[in-house]
Amino acid sequence: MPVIDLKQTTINLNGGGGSQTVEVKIGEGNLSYTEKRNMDYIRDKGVLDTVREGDEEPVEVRFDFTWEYLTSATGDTVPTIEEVLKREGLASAWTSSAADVCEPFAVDVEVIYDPTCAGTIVEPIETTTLADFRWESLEHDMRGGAVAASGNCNVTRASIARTAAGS
Amino acid sequence: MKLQGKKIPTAEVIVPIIRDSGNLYFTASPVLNYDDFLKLCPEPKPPKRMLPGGVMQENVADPNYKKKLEMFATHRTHYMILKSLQSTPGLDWDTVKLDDPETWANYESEMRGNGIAEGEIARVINGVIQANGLDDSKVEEARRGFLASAQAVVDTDQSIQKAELLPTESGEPANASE
Repeated sequence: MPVIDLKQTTINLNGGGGSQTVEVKIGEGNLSYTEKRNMDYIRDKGVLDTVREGDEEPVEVRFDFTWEYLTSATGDTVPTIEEVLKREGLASAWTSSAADVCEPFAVDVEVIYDPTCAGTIVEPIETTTLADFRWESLEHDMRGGAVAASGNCNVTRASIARTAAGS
Repeated sequence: MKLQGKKIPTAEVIVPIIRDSGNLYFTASPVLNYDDFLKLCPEPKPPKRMLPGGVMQENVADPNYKKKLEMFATHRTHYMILKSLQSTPGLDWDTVKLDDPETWANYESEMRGNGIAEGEIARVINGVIQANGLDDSKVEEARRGFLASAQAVVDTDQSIQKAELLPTESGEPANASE
C-alpha cells in the first residue's frame, strides 16, 4: 500500500467542470490507497495449472490530514472539502468527474507532490490521480482544519505522472 | 496647483540619436495618468483562500497571481515607455499598437530593426525613466543639492547672529540688554 508523505504536497479535488477545483494545502497527515486484484488459480486434477484474473476491485482510498488553507480556481468563493465531497453549498452546482451522470457524485483526487526545496536540486513533480473517488465515511473538523475520509475509486489503478519542476 | 508661486514645468527629456545623415531626436514626456492602461490591463487581484475556521484571506503567495502580477508590471513598463515616447514628433510604429498590450514588447525589436543600436535604445529608455521621475541618481543629486543650499542658508543666518552678538567697545554684548 503506497503511503504518501503529505508534507510538500497539495491535494486537488476536481469536479467534472474545468474550473471546479479546490486546492488543499496540507499541514500534517497521511493519504493511502490500496490497489487490489483477484487471481483465480485453476487446478487440473488438483495440480496448479493456470491463472486467470478474477473480478476487478476498486482502489481504496483513505486520507486523514489537517489543512492549512483551501483555494479554488474561481478565486473569490471557496467551498469546503465537505461541501465538495457531498456536492453541497458552494459546490452544489459541481458536475461529477464520472462520465455517467446517473452514478453518484464523484471527484478526482489529485495529489501533487513537489519534493524540491528552494536552493536545492530540482526534482520532478509527481502527480497521483485517484479518479472518480466517492467517500463512504467522512469526518470533518472545520475549526481545526482537519478531515478524515475513506472511500473507493471507480478504477482499478491510480494514475501516476511525473513532470519537470516548473512546467 | 503652484509650487513656490510657479507652475510646475513638464519634465520633457530630449534624447538625440547621432547620425551623419542628420540627427534624430526622441522626446520622452511624463505619463501623467494610467487610466487607459488600467482599462486594457486591470491590476490582477489575489485569489481568496480559506483558513481553518472559515476565515477568508487574500492568497498573495499564489503562483498564478505572482505570474499575473509580473506580467502586469512588465506591461505597465512597456506602456510607460510607449506613452512617454508618443510626444516624439513623427514617431510611427509598424507593429506596436497602443490599444493592444500583446504588441507593446515589439518596440525594442522595431527600434533595433531600424538601425538603432543597443546603447542608443538604452539611452532612450533612460530618457523615459528620467522624464517619469524614476531616476534615483538624479533624485538623490537634487535632494543633496537642496539640502546643501538649505544648510548654506542656516550657516549664513548663524554667522549673522554671531556677528550681532560680538562685544562692543565698552565690553557689553551688542544685544545683551534684550
